[in-house]
Amino acid sequence: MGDSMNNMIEVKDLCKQYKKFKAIDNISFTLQKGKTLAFLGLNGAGKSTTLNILSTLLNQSSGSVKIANYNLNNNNINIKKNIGVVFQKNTLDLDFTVYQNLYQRSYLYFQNHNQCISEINRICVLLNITHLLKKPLKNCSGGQIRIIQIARALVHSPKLLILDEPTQGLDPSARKLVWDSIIKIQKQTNLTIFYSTHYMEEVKYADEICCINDGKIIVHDELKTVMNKFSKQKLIIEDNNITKTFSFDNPKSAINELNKHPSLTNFWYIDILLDELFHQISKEF
Amino acid sequence: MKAFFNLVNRHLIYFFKDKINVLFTVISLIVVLSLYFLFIKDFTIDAIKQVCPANNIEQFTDQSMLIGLILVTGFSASLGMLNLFIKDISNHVINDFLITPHYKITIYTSYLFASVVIALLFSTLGFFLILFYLKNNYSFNITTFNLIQTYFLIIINCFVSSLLLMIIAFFIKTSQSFATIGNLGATIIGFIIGVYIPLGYYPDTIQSILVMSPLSTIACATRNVFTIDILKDITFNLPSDVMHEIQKVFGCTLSFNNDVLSLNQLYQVIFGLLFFIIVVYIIIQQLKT
Repeated sequence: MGDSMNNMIEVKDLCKQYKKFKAIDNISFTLQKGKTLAFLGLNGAGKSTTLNILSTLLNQSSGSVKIANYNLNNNNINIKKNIGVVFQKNTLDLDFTVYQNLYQRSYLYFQNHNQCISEINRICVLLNITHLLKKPLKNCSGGQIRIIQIARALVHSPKLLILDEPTQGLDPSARKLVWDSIIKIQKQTNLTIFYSTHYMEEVKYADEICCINDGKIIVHDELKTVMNKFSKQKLIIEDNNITKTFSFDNPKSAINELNKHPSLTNFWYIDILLDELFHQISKEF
Repeated sequence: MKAFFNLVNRHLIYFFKDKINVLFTVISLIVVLSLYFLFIKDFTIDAIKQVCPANNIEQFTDQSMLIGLILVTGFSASLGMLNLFIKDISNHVINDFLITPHYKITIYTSYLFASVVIALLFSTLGFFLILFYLKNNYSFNITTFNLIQTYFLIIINCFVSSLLLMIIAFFIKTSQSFATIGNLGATIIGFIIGVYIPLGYYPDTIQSILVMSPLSTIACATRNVFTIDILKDITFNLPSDVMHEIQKVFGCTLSFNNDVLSLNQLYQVIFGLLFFIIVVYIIIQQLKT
């Protein structure tokens, strides 16, 4: 997918083995600059292991990883300058204010008071969280904490944002808030985003989908291609108090089916059942 | 270096924000001092008087035992600070530091340094308390050189205690387990540095083993330099054997293979062991991924 210079992430034959257990089994993929990739998989599929390797927290057993054209293990310090990571669980200090948290973390990148202040202001304006700066983190809502975590990850203007299930445990409105912020940032900065998620409705934000199962990549393609290949539309018809469900590959077949039921009392057309998408992909492989 | 001190600052702020942690560290200092005055002091003096009829033995006992208690304080204060290290690991907060452009050893060592600072702070507080007590209750006299040497050894003790606890912390997953192991460690250390029972009461074989323990050798050297002036005073008219016997009983010296180690030899052992522990620390933190 594109030439080497255009790639933000290049993973080749990556393996991670814990004694006899292979958490990641020879995976290879690339992600171009400015693109967003959704990394999907069931629990224990190898998502977090991959994310931890990309975040420089874990050493691979074999294979090579290049981030922003720097080789992992040889250039970890440069890689760290180019990545921002939002972890699944809160990694900020709850007893500190939002400002203290952002200042403390940004200082680790800039080591300059004035630069820290200006970068904190920039990111807070961008994410619309300036009003939260004086608030202790423990008094912020789950959604706000996640956005503050995103602010922390982006405070040093990285080229790649890695998010590990960024909306895990959040209610739907908080989830929307988080994704609106991510999309806003992506549009304004042309950031490359690599995220893992359990929520299938969140794959719609991605340009590409990568599915991992038992440590192996089973699908990696553009979102539209994957949807067309694996998704099915459903038509539910209520006819004489009898409910029937039909599956289709395209809306035309659904219209034909509707025409066959002139006495129907009600019908529901479900475009794409995203949750089923992953099951179908898993079944196929 | 700026980033390192920024991290140390964060750990220290976090430690002092936890009021209960600070309170218990202060209380532990008060408890060990109270335990000595209430239970250990009279028993030790009575026992010593039977073998050594010297004058001012009470002052010597106080000096010798109290300085030992200060060394235990260094260990328990480190324990409170390094609890934050375990919490940061179990809450994955440390990952937020490990993804910043700094070496792993910088991140880990910031916790170690913060622990040394806290241990030193409480040890210094305890040291001033005992100096105040000794000055008010006895004609306390110590040469400036020996006072500086004592404080230097207290610093070394804080460093070694923190280093040992940090090595243990690498293998522990929860702060609860760490607190349990730490408290157990503090009790054991109380015995191996002769706080509860003077080291001289231990058999020679045990003493030879204790030479291998950095905390025991530091305790011996500290007692040695902190009590040498008063010891010279109280054994002024007595045969020199009495002075050596008192030093042996109180753990101001240690025997190895029945040979009494001199202060210089104790320093050599301390720095040898310190070098060894630093190497172990570096290796373990490198292996931790």
